[in-house]
Amino acid sequence: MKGVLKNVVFIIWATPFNTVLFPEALRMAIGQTVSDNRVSLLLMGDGVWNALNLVPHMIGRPDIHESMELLSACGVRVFADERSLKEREIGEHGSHVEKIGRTEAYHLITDADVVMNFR
Amino acid sequence: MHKSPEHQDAHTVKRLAEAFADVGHEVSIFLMEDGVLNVVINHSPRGLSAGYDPLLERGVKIALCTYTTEIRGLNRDQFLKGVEFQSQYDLSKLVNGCDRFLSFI
Repeated sequence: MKGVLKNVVFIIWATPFNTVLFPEALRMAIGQTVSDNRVSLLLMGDGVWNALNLVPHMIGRPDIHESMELLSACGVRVFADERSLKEREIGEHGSHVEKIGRTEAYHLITDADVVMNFR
Repeated sequence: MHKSPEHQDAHTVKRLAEAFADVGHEVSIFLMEDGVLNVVINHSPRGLSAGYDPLLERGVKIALCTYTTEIRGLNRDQFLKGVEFQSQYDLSKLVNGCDRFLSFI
């Protein structure tokens, strides 16, 4: 495992505006791509609110657009748990977000070398 | 590790690091967010601390995210001697170079 490129998954449970957890997770995720690690973001529970096309700087929160564009450019995939979206009646989300079922989410986590859990 | 000394995770990380170092493992700790407060020099008699100083003496490497210290208005001379100031790039190298990575966020 040592020295081998890692499969890193960031699980986001935190809502977009209550803390700076989401922008910080994005900053860490971008950092992980520098060493060519395979990085994925998984939005779970209330974390799926981050799937919306939000404008956080309108309320003085850190802007995430540049980070999201950079993530996309670095090949980071952003997944959202379909059931969590449905439970919150979120029908529309950003085009950068891919919906996945619980089984796929489970495999994403179990196949990971490193899991970082942002609650 | 993101947690400040108020949190049990700060103490758990310290105890784990001690235990791993005691059996000969190479241990590195990367502190971010309020986690950096675990290595601020604190002379208060009732100082809030999980006691990270002895870890450095045992050879445990402790690094901080420089950005998160700067945005908290903390200066380098406020931290324990031996602590390194690093970046997310360094964290990615740490993730690549380790056998096991544990996160406490």
